[in-house]
Amino acid sequence: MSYAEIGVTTNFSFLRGASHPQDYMHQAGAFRLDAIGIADVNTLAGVVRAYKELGNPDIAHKPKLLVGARLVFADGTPDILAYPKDRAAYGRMCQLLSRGKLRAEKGECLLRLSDLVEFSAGQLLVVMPPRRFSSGDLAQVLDALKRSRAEGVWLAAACLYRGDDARLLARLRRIADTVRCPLIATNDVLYHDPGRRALQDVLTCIREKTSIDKVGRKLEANAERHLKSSAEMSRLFSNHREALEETRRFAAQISFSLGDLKYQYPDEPVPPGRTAQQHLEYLTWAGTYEYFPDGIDETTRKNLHKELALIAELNYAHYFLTVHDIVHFAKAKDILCQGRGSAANSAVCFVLGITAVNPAEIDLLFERFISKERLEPPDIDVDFEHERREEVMQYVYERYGRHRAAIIATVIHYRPRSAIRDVGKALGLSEDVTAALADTVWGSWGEGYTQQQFEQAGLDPSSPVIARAVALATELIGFPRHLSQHVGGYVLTQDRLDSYVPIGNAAMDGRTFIEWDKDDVDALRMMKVDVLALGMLTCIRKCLDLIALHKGERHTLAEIKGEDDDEVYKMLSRGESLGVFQVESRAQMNMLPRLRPRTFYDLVIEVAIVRPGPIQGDMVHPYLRRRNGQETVTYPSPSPAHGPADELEQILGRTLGVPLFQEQAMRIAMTAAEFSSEEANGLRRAMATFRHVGTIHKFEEMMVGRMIARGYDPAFAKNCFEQIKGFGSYGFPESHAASFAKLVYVSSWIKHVHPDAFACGLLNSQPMGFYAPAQIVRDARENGVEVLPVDVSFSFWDNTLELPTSPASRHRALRIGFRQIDGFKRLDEKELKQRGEDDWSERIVAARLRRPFQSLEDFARDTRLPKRALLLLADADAFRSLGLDRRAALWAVRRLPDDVPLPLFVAAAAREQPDEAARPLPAMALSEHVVADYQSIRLSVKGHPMQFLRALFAREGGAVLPRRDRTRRQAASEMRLASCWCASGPAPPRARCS
Amino acid sequence: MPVAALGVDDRIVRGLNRAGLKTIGDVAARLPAELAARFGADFVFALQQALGEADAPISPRKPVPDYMAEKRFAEPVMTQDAIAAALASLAQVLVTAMERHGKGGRVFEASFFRTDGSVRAIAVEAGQPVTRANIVGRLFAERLEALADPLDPGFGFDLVRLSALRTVSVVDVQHGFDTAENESEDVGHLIDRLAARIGRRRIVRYVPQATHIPEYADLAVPAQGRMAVAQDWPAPIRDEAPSRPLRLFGRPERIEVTADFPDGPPAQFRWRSRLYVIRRCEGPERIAMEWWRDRRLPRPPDDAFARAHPPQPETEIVNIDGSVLTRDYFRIEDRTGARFWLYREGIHVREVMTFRWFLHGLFA
Repeated sequence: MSYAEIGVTTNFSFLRGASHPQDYMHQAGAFRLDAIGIADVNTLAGVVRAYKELGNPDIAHKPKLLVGARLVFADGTPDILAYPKDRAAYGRMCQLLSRGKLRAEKGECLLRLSDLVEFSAGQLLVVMPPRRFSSGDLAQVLDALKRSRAEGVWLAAACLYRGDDARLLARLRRIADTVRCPLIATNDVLYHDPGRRALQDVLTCIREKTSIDKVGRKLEANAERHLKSSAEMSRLFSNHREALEETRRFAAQISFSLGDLKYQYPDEPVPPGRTAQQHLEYLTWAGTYEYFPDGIDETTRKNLHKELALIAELNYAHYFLTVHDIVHFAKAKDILCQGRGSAANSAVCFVLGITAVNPAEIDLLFERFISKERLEPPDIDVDFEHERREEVMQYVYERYGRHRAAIIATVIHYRPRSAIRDVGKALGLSEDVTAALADTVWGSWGEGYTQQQFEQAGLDPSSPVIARAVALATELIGFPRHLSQHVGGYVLTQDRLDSYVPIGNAAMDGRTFIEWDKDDVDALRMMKVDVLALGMLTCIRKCLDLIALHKGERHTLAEIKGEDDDEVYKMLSRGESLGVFQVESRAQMNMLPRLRPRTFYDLVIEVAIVRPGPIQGDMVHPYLRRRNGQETVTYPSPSPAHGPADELEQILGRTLGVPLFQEQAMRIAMTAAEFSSEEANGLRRAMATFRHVGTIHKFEEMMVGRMIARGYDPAFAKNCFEQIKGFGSYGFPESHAASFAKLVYVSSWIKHVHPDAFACGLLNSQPMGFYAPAQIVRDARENGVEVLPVDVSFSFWDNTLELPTSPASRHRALRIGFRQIDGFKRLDEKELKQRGEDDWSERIVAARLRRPFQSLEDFARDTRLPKRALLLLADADAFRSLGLDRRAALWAVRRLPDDVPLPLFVAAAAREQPDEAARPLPAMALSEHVVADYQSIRLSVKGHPMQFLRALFAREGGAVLPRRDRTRRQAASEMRLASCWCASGPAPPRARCS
Repeated sequence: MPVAALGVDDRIVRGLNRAGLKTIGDVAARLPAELAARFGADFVFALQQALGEADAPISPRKPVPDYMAEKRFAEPVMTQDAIAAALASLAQVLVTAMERHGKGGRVFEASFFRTDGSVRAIAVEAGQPVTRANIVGRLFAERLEALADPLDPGFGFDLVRLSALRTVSVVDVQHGFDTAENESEDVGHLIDRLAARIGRRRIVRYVPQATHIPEYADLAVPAQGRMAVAQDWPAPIRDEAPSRPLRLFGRPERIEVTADFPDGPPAQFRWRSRLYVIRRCEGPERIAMEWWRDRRLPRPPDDAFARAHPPQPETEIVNIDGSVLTRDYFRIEDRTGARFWLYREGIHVREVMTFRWFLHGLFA
């Protein structure tokens, strides 16, 4: 006799359930259960995963999935399993959970029985009797529920081997008979297999914040709360068969499936009287006039027609319109933005202004990214200036309303480090051992732990305690730990969102987010729009503003484009990319002179090649050799019996036969290893999630094996797969690389043409990128920009440009601003209000506009800055224009009274300071000034720290070579390197040679 | 010497260094007024101290004395009675002094100074803070009486000192007429007296342990000072027979059982060569062993029978993965109405293929 388990708790009931939703689906399939009901504590976060797993071909017998929740109440009501009967009831349940979550802190849910009664229509409710209960109370709850609009009310009975099971069942039977509601069997499941008992015990310890020695009776006494087979359940319920049969009747009453969630696009972006497709076509052709003022060429016209037809066929017009709507808002507000993602590099997106990359220029084909088979919604991520993204987010809320727009969740999983740390704590290991264990796995992702790592850490992996901790931690890796809000993914709906999915509070005030993450949303084919923040766009915006202000030129992203081989590419080929987007890292700087980018597409490759994927797959050197003509371009091919020899040429032609992009690797899998589209989707999913779940190895055998079978070189097959694994952690598809390459070119162009504005904008966008202000300033000076020190008479909060002191200079001079001074904080508006004072730098600027400063006393009186600010300014050597160097200024500032005096007394106070006999302090050496500069503003325009040490090193013997004297350096047979490292700033990637 | 040698605040040191004044000599060369205006008078004082121009006074302190009372005797006392009387009066003084500060004593020490110069110190401990003089006296009386090495007055004591070594704050409680409350306090005093007499390790009580394993569910600990934990035992559930037997065997005894295979209830069993036919049975209560412990050794037998009949050494059956087997407990009533607690060891298939049965305790 078969039954349906309705009381399953997955690990989305955090620190309670000890199995993944997927595990349950496999186990239920193996047991050939009729149905399985997932009911997590006040959440629906895990159900989509279970739903998706049903598509896994490994599950031969697919049980019916019942979607529900275990309602845990704050008012002492026993737990109730609630299962919606149909779509309408499901919506009510989401609203019920949303209500409970919105009135509680992040991650909590506060429900009362009255709430359930209110939303009870269409719900199947199962009351779970607590361990100890009074029959009267239980009957009362059942009665109350029976009087509600609920579809049906059941009383759950479980045989958990607690000694009194038979008596308990008889007692429940009596209660059920009195209130006339059926008894229903469940095992109140916590894990899919009894082997998970230890892990569940550990979870209990983590939850109770205690260790296994102390947790005591809070643990389950045995391992019986696993998913049981029908045979075992019927043995347990041999005297109450009707309770077991009831489970099947229960399951049969539920018609709701997650597939019933018919997603509807919001229709805001579509004006009345037009269909979405019509409107999109209208906007597209209108856009061509803006972006191709001289008329469009035939290829672009053809591409647009083709893309529009595909969009119409797949019904994606709404999606493009929604993204366009948001981008349009940003453009109107003058917020820079740039789209990326699979659909972004299309001609349609270009003329809609979503991306600044004209796909015709680099020959990116839309169909390559949007395929009919994939049936996934298109994916466009839009990056905005990070300082102004909030405006865009507010716009989305305003346009669609908070009841229809919400941020999606990110599931925070246990990673090797966090897993071993929590398990170690739960097992009562000492802090030292736990820390040592956690340190061994630094940087390794999801591969588990290796014996060697432990030996290196001085731990004995064969010790039972360590072995146990490692085994449990390995099981724990990939468990969800909590939900957090996604950085910027929105889901938008036409009708109220809380009838699709529960919405809860985020940690941030006034933010709400849904319970599902992006994979869940994708699986249900709901629309998601990514509104992301990119620091480089802020920087570019600042640079463009400076250029407009000082040079009167206005530029947009789309319009800045170069010729092949122009000066910008030459600059990059020399490796001069400090501060440039994406290609400024040491590795990239190394790669640039070797790759020598000459065209835009070379930049696309440059961006993609220095990534874990190609590096891990050993694709970098072959590519470079082929590019430099040291190796002939060949394409691996199958043996003739298995297919055309040029099958890979189509895929790899643009990258000289070396797979560099994520989708190339995928297409190899489909072509060379003959993956079906279903298998390819599986591989793609595994790639995206293999960090969490180790399913990728299955695909490894499949792909490498099939490629070898078809006559491919085993080494090549292996490398292709290694690369896929690399992409898994940091995927970089071609379309993303193209969007980023655009920003690389734009920032390089600014750096080359306007190094003054570039340095200024970059400094004003700090912290960002790889380099410290000192290095940015030095780079600017090397490019002929004059840098002027921070000074109270000239500086503003931001770094600014001013006329250079020598008229010969081509560029404006860069004036260091107050923001570079460590500790000279800008107060945000809230703080300003609280303290009732103005921002420091604003006070300085306002005061000097009224009257230029004459002396330090003058300055202190006019600005009424606190002494701390004066000290910081003096220490930054900002009083030079008042005739005081750092030492003199500090000495004078220290003498000023401690607190800001009331204005009335200021004049008096100033006079009361008796004149001191002028006894000069010892003069400050230049070297001291430079060191103090670094301490205060992390850069110095007075000198380089090394120049003071050179003489010292020369005495040590040997010649000191200037930095750029590479030839002599190479000629020297023996060499000692001296380096100095400014520790006050963020450490540069490597100590620099001098 | 560098400025840092002055031992002043780091900020001042940095400030002076920035000003180019790097040695104490540099600093001392400036005018005191100049320095005071910038670094405060305290700094100038510190500088003057370093230069020997100002004093740094030292004020010696002794640790705060505890409560103490002593009595000198013009005529050395020798008799028990006189000593007891002296202690009683000292206790009165001490307790009055402590009462003024709302303190009660947990550890008292009496020091007896003999005329020939030797000193004997004797300490008593109380489970709860003592605030009454007669109790102090009584504790010492018990202790003195029970001393293995009795107090030898020699030529008499000329000084007796009573001190409270450890005191705790007490809140005076208004006693009601509730007998239980008074009783519990009396029990506390009784424990103190017994402990003073026969040693605190010998007076034990059982405290509950948070574990599902029956034989580890209690632990004997010294009773002194543990009155408060008495409530920790799970309260019996109304209308529910106890689930644990009155008498738990120190070591479960092997029995032979006839039962339904694989996990049905037992029908009859043979214990110490006698056959018991089961009339009523409830269970199983399944208790899995604690996987995180390396197999615990069974507790040494503490009842007479088990000591008299040491079990035959048997090879212990453990699970394939080395863990100890799960037990299924049954509460049993035989035909005569006697009730037993027995268990089957191991879960069929998951752990073992054949079982062993044990009797673990008797209800009545």
